[in-house]
Amino acid sequence: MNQIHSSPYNWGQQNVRKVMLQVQMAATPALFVHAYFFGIGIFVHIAIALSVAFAAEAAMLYLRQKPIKPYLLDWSVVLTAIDIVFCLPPTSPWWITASAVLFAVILAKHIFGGLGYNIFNPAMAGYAFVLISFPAVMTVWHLPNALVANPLDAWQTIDYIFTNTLPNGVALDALTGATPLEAARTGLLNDQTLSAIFSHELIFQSGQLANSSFWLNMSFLLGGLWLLVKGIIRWQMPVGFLLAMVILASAFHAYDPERYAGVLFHLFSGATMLAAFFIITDPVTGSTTPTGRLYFGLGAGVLVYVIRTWGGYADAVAFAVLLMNMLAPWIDSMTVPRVYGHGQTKGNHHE
Amino acid sequence: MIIAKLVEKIDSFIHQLTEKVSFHGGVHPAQNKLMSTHQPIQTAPFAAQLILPLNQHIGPESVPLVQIGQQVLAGELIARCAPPLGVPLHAPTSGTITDIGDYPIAHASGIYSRCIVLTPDGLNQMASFTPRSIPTSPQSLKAILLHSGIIGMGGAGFPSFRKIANKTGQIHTLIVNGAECEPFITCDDMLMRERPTAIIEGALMVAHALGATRVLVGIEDNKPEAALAMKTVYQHATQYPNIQLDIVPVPTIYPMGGADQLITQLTAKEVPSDGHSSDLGLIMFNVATLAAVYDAVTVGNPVLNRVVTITGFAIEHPCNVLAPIGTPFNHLVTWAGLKQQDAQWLMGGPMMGVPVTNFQSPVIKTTNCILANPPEPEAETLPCIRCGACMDACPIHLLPQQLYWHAKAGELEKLEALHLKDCIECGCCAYVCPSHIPLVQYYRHGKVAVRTANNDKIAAQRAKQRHENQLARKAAEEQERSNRLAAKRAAMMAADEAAQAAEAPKELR
Repeated sequence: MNQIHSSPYNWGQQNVRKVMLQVQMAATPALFVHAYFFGIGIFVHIAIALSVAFAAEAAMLYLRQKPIKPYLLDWSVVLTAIDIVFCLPPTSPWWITASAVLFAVILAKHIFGGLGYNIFNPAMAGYAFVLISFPAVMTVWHLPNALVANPLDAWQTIDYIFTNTLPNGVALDALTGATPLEAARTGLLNDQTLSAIFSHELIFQSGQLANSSFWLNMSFLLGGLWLLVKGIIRWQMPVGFLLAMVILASAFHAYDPERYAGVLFHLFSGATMLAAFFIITDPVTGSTTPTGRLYFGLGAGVLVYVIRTWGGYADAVAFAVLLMNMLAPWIDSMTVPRVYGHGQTKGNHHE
Repeated sequence: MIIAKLVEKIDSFIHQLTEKVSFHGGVHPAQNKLMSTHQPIQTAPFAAQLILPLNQHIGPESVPLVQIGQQVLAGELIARCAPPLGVPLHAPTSGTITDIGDYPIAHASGIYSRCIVLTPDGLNQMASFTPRSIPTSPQSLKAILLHSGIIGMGGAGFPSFRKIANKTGQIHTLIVNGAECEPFITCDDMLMRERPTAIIEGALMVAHALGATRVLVGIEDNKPEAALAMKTVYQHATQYPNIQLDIVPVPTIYPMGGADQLITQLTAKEVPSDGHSSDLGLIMFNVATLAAVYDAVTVGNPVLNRVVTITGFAIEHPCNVLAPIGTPFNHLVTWAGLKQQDAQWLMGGPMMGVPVTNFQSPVIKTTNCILANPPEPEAETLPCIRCGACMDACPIHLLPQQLYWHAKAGELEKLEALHLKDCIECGCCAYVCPSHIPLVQYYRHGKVAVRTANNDKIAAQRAKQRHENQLARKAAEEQERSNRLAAKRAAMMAADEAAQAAEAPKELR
């Protein structure tokens, strides 16, 4: 690039790499909580995801004749890889992770022009791709180790991920079970009441301490609040997202508590907090105006609740985010903020 | 939209809570001010030549009144203002006019400008000045500002007399800008420490002449010495009992010293985009401008010099110096000591300064700082990730990320719809950009493109109008000619008939 001939000649300390790094730091507590509940599976998948992601990114940059080093080191691809891994079952086969990451990096990111130009959240596009293509694998969730008689050790986990072989005498059914959202959904589809589901499903019986969803959501909430304080993300998106969930969940719960789960169940199950602070806040594919961010969060929250409650999937973050991604440019054009020295309503209705 | 209003309220509440700032956005660049405040304001020896640009202000060039070879005294008028919007120029010291011609000046485009060159004789003989009576009306203040060649010395270079309304009482509050928010620059700080009387008295004089009853002095809270000096002086000023003067510390945040930003901070009002601060009954002067007013009244001298901060990491002895207008930059920098030959020079601060391409460029009335820093490795530019940090930093609450896309794509109508013209080019957006995109550069280009397109449109309309007028004129001329011909023909026929009639009786006879 040619020399800058125009002020300012002073740059802040922030750069893209640091932003991405801070987001990853905020996700670290959740990583360890995940490992505590499900074993080292997540680290194996992160290793797979990172190697595939870097290889794909480098290959695409080479094919697109872009400088490889600065773009590879912007770390955005690491974030994509880690977001995907958090969404996948911890003992899913290696090729699930690999194909999700390949789809995300090549089709969702680079085909659209790479960093900053992609329309859809790459991580969610990659996740949605494997969710639709391999539904059988994707719904088999590993049970928290505390609920399993003989949990897999590190080598057995690696062996299972890469070769799909379990140690002798261990049945797949003993290791896996439904997630809280899945359990509630299946129960309701079989015309059970929520109180009945909560009383007999294994995942709900062992108390809050064994509830991996709850603690994962708590750790994402913690990391997310840190990001808010650091100014990496803004309040509008998480507030809008959680507000929509709270309003809808409490309204329907009040209407029929046996069919519609309560606010806390929705807030601390599935990927709620991961979505609120780490996924919908992806700047590239979300709204950028102050009011637009609030609408984006609200919209995603409504969609997640609707798909969870009446849709075909237990959790819905990927689809909600991808749908909102399509609306983001339109939301931005409708929510131009009031400019200094202009009237209160002026600017809001500009194309 | 209620929700939009609510979001704006919440955001400004958070901003007020965390920063105590009333306008949107702002940034905290490293201040680097302490290095140049260790010593009092210095005086440098005269340069061999003073180069005096005829256009140091916004408005038309002044008209030279001197010839090459002419001897002048300090304070003598050497160029008269081009009415109605110009400013006169005075000789900063005594000496000989040695040239009138084009010389390089510090300007973004590196252009040459018409200058009068004065070779000082070293005697600094003053023309005789007579103190003026204290102005009592806007008109008398206006005359003093005009004849003393006073322009906004904070950096805008707007001729001060043009700010003054004609009627008394139109302005109720004078705002004194002592914020000085640009990093490195300390000339206003030092002036407030050393000449608080001139500033306070100057402010009171201006307020008195305008019929204003209130003076608000905004000083950033990183200049406690300046604020204290100003406060101490005001306690002894009792000449204007009707005027209430307050020295208000304001938070240190860039761009607090922007005119509209300081007004919003001090009065919680917004200056309308299509109006002026006078619409709110406010007027703003920089501290250096007010000191110049004080001198013009009490001594009677025009602007001869100004305080300039010579600073930066490439300067051996950073300091403030009282420099005669026209002093070449390299004279001052050499005097203060240049540590690094490859240093990059700026006129002004790092946020809004102008690069100095020619070191012979002279100090003009708006030169507040010469900044020399070691060259920095250029940060790599990455694509925009739409993080919106620029939007959060923008004091005007524009959408810099959208403006960037539209400026890049040349979508001029979108640029206008998103109010690009309200951009003050403060550089906050580029400062916070994690992708290190030179955003302001895009906006400058965009503004020029919008202006050119609008001018072209107007020119095209004018040409069309001219063409239509011409056609109409031609048609009218054609019509007139045919009318004339018809009239002539009718007259001839009438004459023929008359002749025939005259002959006929003969035949009849």
